[in-house]
Amino acid sequence: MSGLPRFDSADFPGDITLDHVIPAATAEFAQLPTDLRPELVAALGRRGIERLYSHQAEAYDAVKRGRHLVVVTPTASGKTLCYNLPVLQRLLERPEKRALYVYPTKALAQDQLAELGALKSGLPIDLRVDTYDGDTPPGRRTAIREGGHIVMTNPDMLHTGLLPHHTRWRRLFSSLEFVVIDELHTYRGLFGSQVANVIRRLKRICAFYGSHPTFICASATIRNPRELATRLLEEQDIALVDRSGAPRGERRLVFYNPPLLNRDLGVRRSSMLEARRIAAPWIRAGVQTIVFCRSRLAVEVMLSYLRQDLDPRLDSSRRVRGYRAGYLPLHRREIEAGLRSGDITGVVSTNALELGIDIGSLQCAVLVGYPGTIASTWQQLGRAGRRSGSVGVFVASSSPLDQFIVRHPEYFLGTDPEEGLIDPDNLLLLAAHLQAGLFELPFMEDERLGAADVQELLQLFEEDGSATRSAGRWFWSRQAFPAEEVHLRRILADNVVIIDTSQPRPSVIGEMDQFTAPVLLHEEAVYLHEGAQYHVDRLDWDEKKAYVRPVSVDYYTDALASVTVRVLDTFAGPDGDGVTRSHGEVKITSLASMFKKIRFHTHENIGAGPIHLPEQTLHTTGYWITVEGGLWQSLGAETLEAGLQGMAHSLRHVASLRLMCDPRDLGAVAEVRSVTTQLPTVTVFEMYPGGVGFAPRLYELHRELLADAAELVRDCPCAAGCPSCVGPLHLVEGAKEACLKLLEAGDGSAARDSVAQVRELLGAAEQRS
Amino acid sequence: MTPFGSAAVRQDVIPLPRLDPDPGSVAYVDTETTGLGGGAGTYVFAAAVATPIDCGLRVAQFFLPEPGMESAFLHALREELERAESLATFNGGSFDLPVLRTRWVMARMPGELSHAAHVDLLTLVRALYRHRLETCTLRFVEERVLGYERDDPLPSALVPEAYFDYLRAGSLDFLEAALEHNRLDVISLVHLHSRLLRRLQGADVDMDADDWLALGRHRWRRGARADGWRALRNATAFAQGEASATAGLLITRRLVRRGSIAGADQLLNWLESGAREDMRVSLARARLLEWHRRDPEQALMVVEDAQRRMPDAAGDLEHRRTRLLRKVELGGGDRLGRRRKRRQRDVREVQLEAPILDGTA
Repeated sequence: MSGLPRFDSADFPGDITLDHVIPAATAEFAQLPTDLRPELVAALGRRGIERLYSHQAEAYDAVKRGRHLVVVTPTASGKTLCYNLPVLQRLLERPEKRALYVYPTKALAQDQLAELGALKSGLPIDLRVDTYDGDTPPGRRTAIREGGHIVMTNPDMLHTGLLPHHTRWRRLFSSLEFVVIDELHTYRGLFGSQVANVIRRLKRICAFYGSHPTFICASATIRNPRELATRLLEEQDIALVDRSGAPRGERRLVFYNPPLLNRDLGVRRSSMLEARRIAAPWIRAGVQTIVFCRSRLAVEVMLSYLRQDLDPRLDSSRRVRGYRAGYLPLHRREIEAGLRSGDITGVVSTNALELGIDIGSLQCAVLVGYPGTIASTWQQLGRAGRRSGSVGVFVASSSPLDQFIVRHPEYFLGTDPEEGLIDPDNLLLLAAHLQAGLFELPFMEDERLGAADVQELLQLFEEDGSATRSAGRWFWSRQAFPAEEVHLRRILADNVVIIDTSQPRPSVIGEMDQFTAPVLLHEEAVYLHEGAQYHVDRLDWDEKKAYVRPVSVDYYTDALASVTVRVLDTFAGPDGDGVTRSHGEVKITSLASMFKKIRFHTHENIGAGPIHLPEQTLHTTGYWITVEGGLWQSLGAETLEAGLQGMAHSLRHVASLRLMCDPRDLGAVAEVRSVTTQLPTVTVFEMYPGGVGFAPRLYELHRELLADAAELVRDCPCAAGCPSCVGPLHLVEGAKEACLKLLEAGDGSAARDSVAQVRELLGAAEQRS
Repeated sequence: MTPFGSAAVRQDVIPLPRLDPDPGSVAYVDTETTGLGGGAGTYVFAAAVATPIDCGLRVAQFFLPEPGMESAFLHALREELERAESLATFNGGSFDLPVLRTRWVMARMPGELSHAAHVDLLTLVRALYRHRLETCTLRFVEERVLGYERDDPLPSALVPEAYFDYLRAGSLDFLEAALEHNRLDVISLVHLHSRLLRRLQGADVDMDADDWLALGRHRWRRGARADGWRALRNATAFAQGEASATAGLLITRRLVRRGSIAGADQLLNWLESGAREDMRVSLARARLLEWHRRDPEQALMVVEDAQRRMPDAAGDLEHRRTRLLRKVELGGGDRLGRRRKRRQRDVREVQLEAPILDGTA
């Protein structure tokens, strides 16, 4: 391992739970396609490209044969050429044709603009490539609409800018030959379901102008790229290219769990400080290193640590840089260039650098905390990918998810990266996009929106006055501009905005859905945001604003909300012995009535207060588990409740892992006696009204979830339950034991042989990375 | 009758007083739409086209009885518009015409209007009357520029709802009012256009310095330099006031640009006699002395004098004063080359010199 930067486990007091070397791989090349235009061959030659990697050639062939395509290859494997090559070839053949590139962020579009600009500058004809987003100056917009060969935009702009004004884009839509969707894996869950509907509308507009574009998607590794693309595009014949021909240096992967400080509370040494100790020596030695943090604040803190650790004679503020959303584009470009040229030795970033922005390959990557999904973890680790060898270290925090992952590296290596799940037919989303689609083009009386039958909805619109039927078609009949009422990335329209008032200019630090806010943002609550404590001074419920200021106190608040679940409709289940599973439509009612202040460490109750906020209800879909009498009658009522709470807590976390969603997209409730089932019941439900398709998937994953949750609890080093494993009622005697008993009863299998599994699975990981 | 079925059209000829000046063969167009945001889902449900003819004003109104009949509606409207040589609208440049173009695309009809000219009266109103109007809505313009108040049963904001009421419930209560609103709008445009032409020719009575200044700027921007020049000169002819000073300064700047330093000098003398408390005048004088007369000492005196007279604004001049002080200490800073250049300019000055301050209206 002489080629790799040094990392010695003896230097660190915590546990190394994974230390694995993925061997180098040599490149698989393919000749340039024979039909490639000579001017394109020459332009590639000027950039030093004489031949292609095998996956690039495969992609070219698939598109040439007119197939839709998904390309799934690792970071820095030349993915963009997979779509740029066939697109440029076509535009050289037929310059009147057009292509639309969709990137999830503006920054990414900017980056790709520069990249493509370098390639096309070698071409003899003048191809116009532009970004079109909120930053595009009005003066340039007309020219782009009329003359842009390749227009690079984002889903939000497509949704509110291009589609509702499609007549101005007639030139583009009537000659649209390709739609490129990069970073496909970002379009999952709620956002993906929204974008799927935007694509339905896009295809409708294209059909109006007589074009039928080929879709080319590129994705980071996820389990089901073709399935996700099939749902997102609603196309059947999608080719998949997932064998990378790009060469790879040797890579060492290390999982590091900082040592325990307090066993009861499951508190470990700070992942920030441990990461600092890992990264600083590398940066000092001139080894290019990237540190990924979970929040903007953490980026700034880590940045100051690493600068302090550098020799003061070196220009530390120039050598170590931060990178996150909120920096100006020019500033970001400069940092990217500095990384490529090697002038910058260290960079601290949020997940902003996880997407395909070109910074070249670094030698070391340190992940402070689990990025939330396996796919993101691979993306971030992939930033270290020098041909000469690289090291990636994941440093776990104390959170349940981090602890689960760090203690189960086989999960990380073995489980295929998460699935991208979407449900474009969620009624709320469908209705919103149907309105937008109706604004864009009248609907025929037998027309669908994509695969969805929308006639019933259209009749509803007619009843409420949004639609008028005339001459066999439906027309939009309101003054409103419907696309502007739907934000693709926001979970709920009425989120509570959290405002930090301590600065001269109050700033928004986050938002929370209306359903959860009464529990965590009531007045006098101590709200934890990115590891810092904030006191809620005022909650303006009507305006949906919570005013907070940072504090440092020795207690936390715990609000008691009585949550009840009513099953409205059961779609499947109950099935199973002893522990049953079901899924269906549920109504969740939550009323927060009081809160307690609880001192850290001693857990004494040092005060309480009332909460005066209205009851919240949520109609959604959920998955629930009931426990039969024989299993719990021996437990006392209190222990049973604690055990169920532990189940709910652990299930929610492992479920978010399996579904590749944010833990906040799910809620979980434990009831000792449910009004519907009359039994002890744990319900995991979706936080988005109506659900986006998670519940049926959880029902299918039932056994795996119980097994994962049991492992999370079992393997936790705490003695009798801690906040990391069983959650809020961890102080009840026997909580951990009861929780495990219930989980194992459902799982039925004993603990799996983890070691054997790791060995078996490491092979799979090698192939994938 | 159109190839797409019958269209709902009604027309009428109303008396029209002789227009002075007469705009010629223009079709005045005003549309009523289902929304103000534009976009593919904003429909034109009514349009009025007014055309002056021999015996009066012909007003044709087109109505969309239901959205499914849009093709016939658009066809009929386009035939009407194609008869005219040019079009006039109120805000049509950014609203009515783009919306119509969108409708034609949606109906798969060739959509480009091939008229030689389009006059957007709102643009003209903004250029010529902005200083007199708090807002430039047509209603307000009628009141303040044309001098009449319309008894309109339906405010513009409610027009789309009137149509939706009709679509949903067949209610005609407000629809007739909306169509009448549309008709009155287009008639107003005819009168407004004539009024604006008179103002453009400078033939309006009772124009004050602000009016002449606005006119001068507008003409200048449109490339009619001689007319612009004349209008600005007329603005300066008003003894006092900010507008006449502004006009004077604009002329000064142009004189300097043409190399007519003596003319600029003369004009500044005159401005100084009238608008001593106008900092811009002192500034122009200081600039002239510093850069064109190469006389930093004099310039410094002007600046210091202005600072004494207008202590509020003294700070803004401080930077200039410091620079001038430095120049004076360096001994004028006038080098030979610059002097030669100036002499060349003086030659041109004689040629271009023309009487500026006489000949006002």
